[in-house]
Amino acid sequence: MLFNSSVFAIFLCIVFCLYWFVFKQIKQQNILLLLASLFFYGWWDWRFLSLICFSSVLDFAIGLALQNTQIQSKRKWLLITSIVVNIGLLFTFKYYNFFVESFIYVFHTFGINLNIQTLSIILPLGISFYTFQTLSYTIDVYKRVFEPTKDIIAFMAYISFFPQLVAGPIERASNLLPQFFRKRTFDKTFALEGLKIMLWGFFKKIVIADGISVLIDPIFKSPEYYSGGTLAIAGVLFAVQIYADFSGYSEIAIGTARLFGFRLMKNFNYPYFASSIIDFWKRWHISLTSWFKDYIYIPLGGNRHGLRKQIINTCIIFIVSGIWHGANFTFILWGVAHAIFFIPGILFRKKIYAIPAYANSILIIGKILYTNCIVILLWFLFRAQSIEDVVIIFSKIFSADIFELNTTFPFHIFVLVCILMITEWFGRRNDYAIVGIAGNAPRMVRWSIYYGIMITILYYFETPLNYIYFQF
Amino acid sequence: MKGFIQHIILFIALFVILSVGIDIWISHQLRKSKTYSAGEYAVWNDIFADRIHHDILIYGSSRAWVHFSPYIIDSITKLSTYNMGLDGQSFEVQYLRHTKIFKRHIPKIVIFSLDVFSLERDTDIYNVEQFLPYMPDYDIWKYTHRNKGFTIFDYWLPAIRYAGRRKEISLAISQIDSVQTKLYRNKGYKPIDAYWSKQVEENLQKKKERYVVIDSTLKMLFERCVAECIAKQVRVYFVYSPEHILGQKHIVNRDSILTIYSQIAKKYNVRFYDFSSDAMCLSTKYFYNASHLNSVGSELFSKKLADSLALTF
Repeated sequence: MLFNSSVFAIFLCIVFCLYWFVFKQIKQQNILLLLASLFFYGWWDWRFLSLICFSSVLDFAIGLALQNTQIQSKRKWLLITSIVVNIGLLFTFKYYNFFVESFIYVFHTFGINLNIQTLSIILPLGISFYTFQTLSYTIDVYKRVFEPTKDIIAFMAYISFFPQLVAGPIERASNLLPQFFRKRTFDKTFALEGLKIMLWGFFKKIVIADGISVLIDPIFKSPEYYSGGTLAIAGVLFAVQIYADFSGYSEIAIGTARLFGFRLMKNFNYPYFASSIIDFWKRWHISLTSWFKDYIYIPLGGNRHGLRKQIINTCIIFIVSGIWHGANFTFILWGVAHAIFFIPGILFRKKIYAIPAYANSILIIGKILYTNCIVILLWFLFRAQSIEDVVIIFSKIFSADIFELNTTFPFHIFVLVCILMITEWFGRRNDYAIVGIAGNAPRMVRWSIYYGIMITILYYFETPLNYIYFQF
Repeated sequence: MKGFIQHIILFIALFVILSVGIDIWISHQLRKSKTYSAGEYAVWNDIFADRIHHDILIYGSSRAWVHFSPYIIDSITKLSTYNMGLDGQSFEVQYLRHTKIFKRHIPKIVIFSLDVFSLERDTDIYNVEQFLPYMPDYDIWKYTHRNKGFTIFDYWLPAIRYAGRRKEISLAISQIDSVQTKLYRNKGYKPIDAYWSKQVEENLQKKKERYVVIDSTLKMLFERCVAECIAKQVRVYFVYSPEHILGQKHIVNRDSILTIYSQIAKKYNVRFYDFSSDAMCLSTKYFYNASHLNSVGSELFSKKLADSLALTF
């Protein structure tokens, strides 16, 4: 079920009414949320419900077993079991074919022909997200930072919580799970803010991301037919598209969760206003970046064992991040390239500029522009369908061909991108830009803005398109 | 919670009012278009504004639309004629027009323009834009909702059907204060000033043979329509207008489809004029493609038909 579909609107209204008006006990509400989440997921493909249930039940049981044993070796084996099973499932569904094909290719270059069959597998929606969420629970319980729950309903509702099940934010048990045990009282301001955040998320997805998608998808499908200038503009638009698409999804998820009294973590913090690559990674897909930091980077030693070790750990994180995004060498290359631009920040600069107060300084603007140039350049690696396409794109944009335009882009799309960026700039002091816009203005002004956004969404609303991050 | 619900209801209520206003305005503007959506708005406007009080109505698809000149039939039969032909539609949508008309006006004569495709079920409605300004309507919902193009919300919620329809909204905006003098369809009829070309012949040669699957529910609906006309004392005629000889061979079961029409004609005692063996079918000068007559052909055919009809009065 897509957020940007009429079915979701009906689903949300029904679940909201049942949640607040019919089932008023916490346990009942948790059961409702679990059933609603499974229905939400099963709407896409009910067969994969078994996978998410299996993962949840396994980690719930391992969590209890971890609490019940004090023998360190046994605890370690329990943790390894959880990691192997969860990563094993992820590997099977997401990476098996990629590794098999890569092995066959490598051996073939040495003249050895391997006869390994690839599998015809559908990638279960959201597997990368809920696998990481359930893993974080077991690891936290193992590290004793978190007491395991004995309530399987609450635990399963936490793993499959429908607003963030398919594409995050990847929640930590320490943040989200306790909310399933607290009495939820309806907070009007909190819920209204949720609706505003959702509205802005829909604007980003339907108007900006989907509007750009139809323009640039054909360009990235056959980059050889397009000039350097066209590819450069497509690259800039893709940067906006992926941000609008993913942060739009996250905001709809966060807003939806608020309607049920849940506070999800912030996933984006105006990443294109970052003044360095390090700063960018503190603002982009925060839930994933912090997951890598807490569960891979710090256990590997983080920055505690000297600069060399810190750089190696940073590289590992970015390579893993690339692989997490998809089974393609372009993603690995994207991760490596980010590491290359990230490392000088570790080596030469201690201070990381925060934006607001003096954001109008020329220095900061220069740094923001520089950071965006690097980020956009690296998005080409992310978006290209193959390494060959990357070579084609870079050979064109790093030549005189950059001054050639062989496609026209409609003017309105640039106007919309400007509206997005200006709104986010002026709303950047708030967690979510829309909440800050016209915050103290009379109701008539605020409502006019919301109606304007709604009408714009309707004007651009066509066939619902999938979210980019669904493929991850 | 009470405050939240009140807040939301007020917000939505105002948005609904705004949407109704937008809906009415876009629909009003679109209805003015005489050329968009194959000029169908002109015919729908006549139907919804109850301007069709003609003696003879012509039902059918695009072959009706471009073949039957109401002016020639008027002049010979001395009966006012209106062409209700719908481009590219199966009989279900043709029946929709019949339903709308018969609720307000019963003609003296109905001519069914037959073709080989009208009883075939389409996967989706062609030219759905024609329904947009008239959609909050039970009959339109009844005969178009099975198709993929629309959802239930498009019919009954204001402005939803215009969501994402930037072309139609732009058309509505651009029509502000514009005066369209060109009449695209006159009394439903659209003569086509195009001629047979080499390209038409090449396309015909490339065209593969096809079997048309007759949909039993559409066949029943067709019969129901004939029965309804007869029950209302309306004189019914079946007409298979000229089709070029080169185009007749591509439908492998063409003869069996014509047999179905003949059987229905016999069952309801309806006069059936089959022009598919007429001398016109041998000459390319009357056609702009194998199934459609050009303006020269349509005038000649309309004259021939009107002469035949006049003999029966």
